[in-house]
Amino acid sequence: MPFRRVVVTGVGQVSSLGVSLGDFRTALWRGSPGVRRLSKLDVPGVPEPIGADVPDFNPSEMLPGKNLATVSRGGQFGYAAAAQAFRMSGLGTLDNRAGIYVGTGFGGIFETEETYRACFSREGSRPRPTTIPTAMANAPAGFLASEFRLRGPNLTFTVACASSSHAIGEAFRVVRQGETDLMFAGGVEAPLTPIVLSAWAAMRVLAPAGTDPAASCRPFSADRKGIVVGEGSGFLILEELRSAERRGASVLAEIVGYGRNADAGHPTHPDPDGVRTCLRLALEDAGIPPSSVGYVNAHGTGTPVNDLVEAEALADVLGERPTLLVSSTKAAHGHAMGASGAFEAIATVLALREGTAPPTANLAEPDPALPHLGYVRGEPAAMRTTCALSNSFAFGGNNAVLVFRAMDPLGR
Amino acid sequence: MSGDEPSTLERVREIVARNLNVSPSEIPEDAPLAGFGLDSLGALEIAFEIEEAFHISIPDNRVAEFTTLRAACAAIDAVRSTQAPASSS
Repeated sequence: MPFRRVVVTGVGQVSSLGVSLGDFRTALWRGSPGVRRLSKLDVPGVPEPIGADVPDFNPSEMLPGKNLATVSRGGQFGYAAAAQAFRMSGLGTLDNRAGIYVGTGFGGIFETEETYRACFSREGSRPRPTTIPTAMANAPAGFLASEFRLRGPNLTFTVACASSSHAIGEAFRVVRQGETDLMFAGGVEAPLTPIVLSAWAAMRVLAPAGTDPAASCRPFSADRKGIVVGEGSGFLILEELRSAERRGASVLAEIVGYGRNADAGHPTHPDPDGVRTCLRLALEDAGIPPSSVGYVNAHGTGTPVNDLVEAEALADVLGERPTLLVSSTKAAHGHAMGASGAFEAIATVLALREGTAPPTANLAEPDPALPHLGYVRGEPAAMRTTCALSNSFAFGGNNAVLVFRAMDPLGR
Repeated sequence: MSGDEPSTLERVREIVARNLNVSPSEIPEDAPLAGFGLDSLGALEIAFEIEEAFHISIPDNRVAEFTTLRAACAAIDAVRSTQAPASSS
């Protein structure tokens, strides 16, 4: 039986760029970072912490009458993002096979750390009754299933920085293989806590704040110095093509391939061969030649090692050519760990829909040590082909590459 | 601290309303709290906050009595009558 086609019919997000898709799109295409000082956080060893935190997030307004103590911060972000995607899709009542896959790198670290801090800092303190049900990694998946009545497949993928790319890829396969016609897929993360930030600082991978925090994360620049941690959530609605057509849905893009593999090597240093293999697996799955890829939304963390390894792998597999547009949107929305892949998949879908690729914020001149690719800087760049990749390469050596294709107005 | 201490009902109403994400004035004393979305987990969270606020320990079987504000206050008063408040420091 031939594989079924899978399309994206809704996307939604909350990130440091704002709490609507319009905010996200505007900031990304302008190359305008949502990176700020986190003056309220007391981070051990980091005198001036910065991050890509979600501004103006009011869960009470969004979930009136909901006992918010029973909903994790990640779950609250997830609801906001998934509700946007659901509204955009135009879906109504869902059948009993509709499901949700969620990626998260740190699970309920926000709630866990808050509980530990309270209990260890004051004698007689004890955990709240909602600690376990909010701190467990699958709390957002359970909450969102309940809110949207998603009774089909429900899994949480924790694969560090590639978590939501794997969630999207696995959901794509579930729909493609016919287990269900509809999946919510994305990721959530709430890692802006004192100890998590301090632990990242201990690894010496955080970009220094400098005088302008918004300019701190500089993927593909020669002076790149590291990552900026972000938070938030992104969700996509994945739907079987015929099912979407039958209900007259507006299709944003098609998801056509997914590669996944493991470096089976170092826990934090990416392996060039692992990355190249994952890119090839994704192209093979999609059944497209390297030359048809016109844009790559890179993992592009802004660390010296990642960007070099990734760019060289892109050149090796897709060809060292200026027509291959490459950008990292992490400079704008930060590295939101398990939510990053979803942000970047959404950015890729928007790029295909609009025919332009967003620039890498803070990129003036590409590092001359990198292969010659079409690094998008300053302004959005026009895309010449209809296929695009979204890369995620996680600590632990877990790689994920998603392949999207633009839809023509007839959805063919 | 100066001024009148809030009553048990006012204190409980504030805790319950905050947990249910509604305004305190929206919850009549005898309205079933389940109608405001209170479930078993939410009841545990409210019991936890009441224990912290009143420095008491609510037995498991009393939590199920938190069906209305009035019922919750009666349960709290019953517990308080049998327990000396813990240190509030």
